[in-house]
Amino acid sequence: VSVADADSGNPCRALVLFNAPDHIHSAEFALTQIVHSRWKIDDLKWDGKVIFRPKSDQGHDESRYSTYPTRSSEKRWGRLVVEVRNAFPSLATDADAERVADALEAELSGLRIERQRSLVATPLSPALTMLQTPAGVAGRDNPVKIDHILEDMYELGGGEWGDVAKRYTDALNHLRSADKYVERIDSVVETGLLPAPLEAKNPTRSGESSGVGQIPNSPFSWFHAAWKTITEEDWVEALPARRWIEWCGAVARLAYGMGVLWEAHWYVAIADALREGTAVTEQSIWEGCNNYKTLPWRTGPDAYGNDVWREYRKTNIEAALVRTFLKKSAAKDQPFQSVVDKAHRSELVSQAVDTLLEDIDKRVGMASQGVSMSAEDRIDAVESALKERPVSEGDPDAYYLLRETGKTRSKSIFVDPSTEIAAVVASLACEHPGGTTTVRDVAEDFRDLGLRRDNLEAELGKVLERAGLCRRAHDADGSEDVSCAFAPVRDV
Amino acid sequence: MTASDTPAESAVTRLRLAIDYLRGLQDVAQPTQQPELASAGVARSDEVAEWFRKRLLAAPGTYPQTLLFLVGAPGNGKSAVSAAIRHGLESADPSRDASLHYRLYRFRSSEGNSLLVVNDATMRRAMSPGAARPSLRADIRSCLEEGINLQANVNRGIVFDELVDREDGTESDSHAAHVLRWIHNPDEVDQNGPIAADRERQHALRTAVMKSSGVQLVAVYMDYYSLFEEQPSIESEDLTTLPKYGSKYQLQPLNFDTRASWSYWNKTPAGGFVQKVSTYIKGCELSQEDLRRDPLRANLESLTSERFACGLLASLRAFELVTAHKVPYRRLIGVLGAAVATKSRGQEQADEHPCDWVQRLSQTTDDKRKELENFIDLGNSRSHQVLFGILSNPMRAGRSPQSEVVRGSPLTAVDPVCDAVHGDFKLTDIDSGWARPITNAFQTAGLTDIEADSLLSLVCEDPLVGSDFVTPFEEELDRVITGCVGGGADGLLPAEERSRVLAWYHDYLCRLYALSHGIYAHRVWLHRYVQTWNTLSRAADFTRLDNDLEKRLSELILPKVRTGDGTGIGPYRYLTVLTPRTAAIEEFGAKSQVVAKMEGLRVMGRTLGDFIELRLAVGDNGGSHTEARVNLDFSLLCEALVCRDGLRGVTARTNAESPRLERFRAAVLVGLRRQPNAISVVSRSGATVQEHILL
Repeated sequence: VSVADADSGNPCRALVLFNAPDHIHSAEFALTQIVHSRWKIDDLKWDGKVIFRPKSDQGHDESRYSTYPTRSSEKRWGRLVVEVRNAFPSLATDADAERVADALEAELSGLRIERQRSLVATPLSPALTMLQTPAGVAGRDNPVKIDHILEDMYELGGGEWGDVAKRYTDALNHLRSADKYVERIDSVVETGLLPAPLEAKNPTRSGESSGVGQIPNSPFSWFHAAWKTITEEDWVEALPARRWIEWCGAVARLAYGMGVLWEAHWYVAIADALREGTAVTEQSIWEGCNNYKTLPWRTGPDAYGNDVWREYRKTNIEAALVRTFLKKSAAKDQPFQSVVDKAHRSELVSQAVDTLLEDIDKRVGMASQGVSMSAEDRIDAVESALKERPVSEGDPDAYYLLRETGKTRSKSIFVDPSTEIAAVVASLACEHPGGTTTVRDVAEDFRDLGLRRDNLEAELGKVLERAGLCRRAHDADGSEDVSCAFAPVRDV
Repeated sequence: MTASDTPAESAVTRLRLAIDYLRGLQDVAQPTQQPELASAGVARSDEVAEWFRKRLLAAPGTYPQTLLFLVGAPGNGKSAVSAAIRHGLESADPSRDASLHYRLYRFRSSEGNSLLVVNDATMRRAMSPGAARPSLRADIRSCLEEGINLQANVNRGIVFDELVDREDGTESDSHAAHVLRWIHNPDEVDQNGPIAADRERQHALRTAVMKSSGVQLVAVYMDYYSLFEEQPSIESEDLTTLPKYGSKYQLQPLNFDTRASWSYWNKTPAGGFVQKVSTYIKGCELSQEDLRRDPLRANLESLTSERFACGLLASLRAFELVTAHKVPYRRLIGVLGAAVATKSRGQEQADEHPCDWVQRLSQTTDDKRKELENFIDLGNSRSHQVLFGILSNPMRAGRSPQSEVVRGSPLTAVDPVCDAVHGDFKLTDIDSGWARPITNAFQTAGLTDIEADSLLSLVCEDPLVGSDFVTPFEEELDRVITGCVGGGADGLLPAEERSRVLAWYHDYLCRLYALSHGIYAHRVWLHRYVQTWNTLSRAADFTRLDNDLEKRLSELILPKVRTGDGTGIGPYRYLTVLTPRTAAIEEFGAKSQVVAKMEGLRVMGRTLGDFIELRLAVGDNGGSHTEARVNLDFSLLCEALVCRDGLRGVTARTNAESPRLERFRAAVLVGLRRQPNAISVVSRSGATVQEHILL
């Protein structure tokens, strides 16, 4: 059954918002991809898997090239030590420089997330980001193009495609000029560890715009506003360098996870329209998605009762089925309205979608069989972005929206925003560092992201109070002031 | 309803009436139903109301037009105060249905003064299609235009909502908006605007005058002070001047001796309220003989005991300080209702009256195990169990040898069992232990395999304890428990179950003993908090903390690093530079680290309501500083007090505290970005620390 003309074969762009969302390795991975879309290294190794450092407990993988040398690789280590001494003339001896080189290895490492095979370098500057490639970080040849998906999301939120990377790399350049220590280690890395100088490039778009236009009050509009804010110079200056990178990563993770979830509802809404034969427009579909709110935040005493995993699993399985159906049956470049109009006049389409989804509940109950790879990838994309990531050692993941409890059959994943993710969203709701906003406005941002809860202000107020950003009052109804977590440094 | 109104019914009926009275107190918001409880003296709002009322009763034109705002969350007693103001005034809308709630009421005094009462400013639905949406700003505006006195009950959310509404350009609307801004923040009034405000910072009673018209504004912030403290007194009752406090709000030290009697508590709004309830229950003349198997009756009995009621008030005050949240009237009433009439189990029959539930469970049976299980359920309905959190019934519990709280309550945060310090309770010593008599009784019983007839008698025989804190219900409970776990029980319960029952009973008696003596968890730290608050409240603005607390807070927030040999404290403080969390380094390790170095940290404090605000500043004299403000609440104080000799301790609150402290350290790190010689690499080899400046 086709919902378009018979000569179909390629997907109708308007029906496919994002290209194959998949597991996000880490926040640093997303930022690495963004930087790699604008900079490159002219070296064959950088076409493959380049990593910062292997994890000490993982076996050596010959296919990966590690950029940070050990003392045993004398030539590369020696080059690094020379560059450290050049960058910090106050160091009197090579031994002192070696201490700095030792310290840098630990300090540049990103979170040590469990079951990951390599350490990721914190992308504090373009050169530092080039200490790894996306393929190296992800450990696979063709990792998901998160940079493209984020650009698509930014465009849906009202921005210009390509600005995610442009704004981020501009901000990195500003960070380098604002923070002398970052500037020096950037020069150490560029001259001491990279095989060639960085070359700028323009990001290339694979495919056309979805043509859906701007979607207000959505995860995309939030992402557009938040990304614009966090990449402003005053924000770069107000936060410690590493914290600023983490906040950028947190914004990217949150937008990616909630955006993919929103897209799943988009497909479900289209399927519902096709099944029911109701006349819809593109706007009525996305308005429905916005109004639905994708993630219910429940805080009952029973963790199982608070579970959202079964819900978003079902939504994503359904979304993957519908998406595949639409990709197969819709014509290339056919406008959205034409597709749905034709479909809703066709009883066959309605029946086909009904058949497609008739055993959806059974599929959701299955552990893995009966669920397509693309559905699992979608679920993985949401979870890897939003759920707390366990670490093998060192600092914990502080920027999550979901937490997990229990195992396998009794597993429950529930909404439980960390104080730090609340601090990020709340602070970016302030216009500038040191500014204030209200619990109500922060709640509005979380609603745009897709959080659903009656009296969201009250529950969010508790989290913001734990974060030390507001003091609740019983009668404020969300009008309590919320302080930005960071203020500009000022001379007293 | 008063005690004397209680009909001469049977004991059972009187009990039911008393229970229903407590369960129905929530209706106090309709003051006509409980007029004897309507003396809500929080922040002396009753006296301000009387001042306002006397002005209304004077001849027109004697006093300036007055607008009185009672500001606060629902349940703070605004309606009760408002009712007292309009009592006896003639309604301008006599045809209204008296059983309905309206947003606005209009009154006229016998002398002809008009009064507009905004009873509930949150009611903002238009009265009819097409009509303008009511708003407090419009009400203020119309009062200003028409010269009418106003009394409005307001919550902060409404003020904020209406502040962001666009002004219509008229002068009266602009003035009304300025009044709202003044209510929202009376400390930040535009001196060039139409309002001349008082400068009584940190007061619950604020006044102002409209410059052009002389209209007088009075706002009482009903939740600024705790209901559990004595309120500052009003300076004079002169009707020509605006009301003003003549004394300062102080936190009464948490000494047991001062807080153990009505003579202290009836000076506080909450104490006065609870004493009235207690007096009412006394008047019900519940018969003693029916107490033995009825926990609800025992609860009422306890509430008439001065020691128990004062202990309950002390625990509620402790809860306020631990959580930094106030207990308004409505919550206090809820706590009293729950303390007296809670079914610890059987929620599946939600509509079953608590008295019927007790009747069902207290039936005697030959099945001793069943009788014990039922009795423990009944015991879980005793006030102290409900208030500190209902414990799992050991006859149905899982494998845990301890009793677990299965249904928490606000006071679980100050459950004395989690802080059962061994020792003997001394009325004049906040630092004394208290749990020895109970712990000893259970140890003795355990050693001799409970040959004693009664665990309760072992406790009560202790000369420091006495028996006046137990009711006949406890004696019956003890008889049932000892009968099942004592030497004569002959293996009725398996060993594990027996020890679980004993653990439950231990906690039961601990809580009862503690509540009856005004003992709650964390009292030593809370005492320190109150001391600090009172010291700081003497200064008008930020001032130094006492040396010991300042030192401990410094050790918590930015500790100095230990010397290489680990025996002393060095002169500097260090932060990590590129870690995800900005950490203060307490001791250098063998691994090289890049660090940021700084010197002084100054900690100052001031009071804000019941709270303490800290100002933290880092930097050398004359140099660049980083400053931050952090609330010194109970959690932060605990964290600081466990720091000693440069070493940080860990409490259950460590995780809750870390975000704001860590953020301050991060802000300091940003400030250091500008400092020369601030970044260095450090490593330690044995006792030698090597430090090389990088930047």
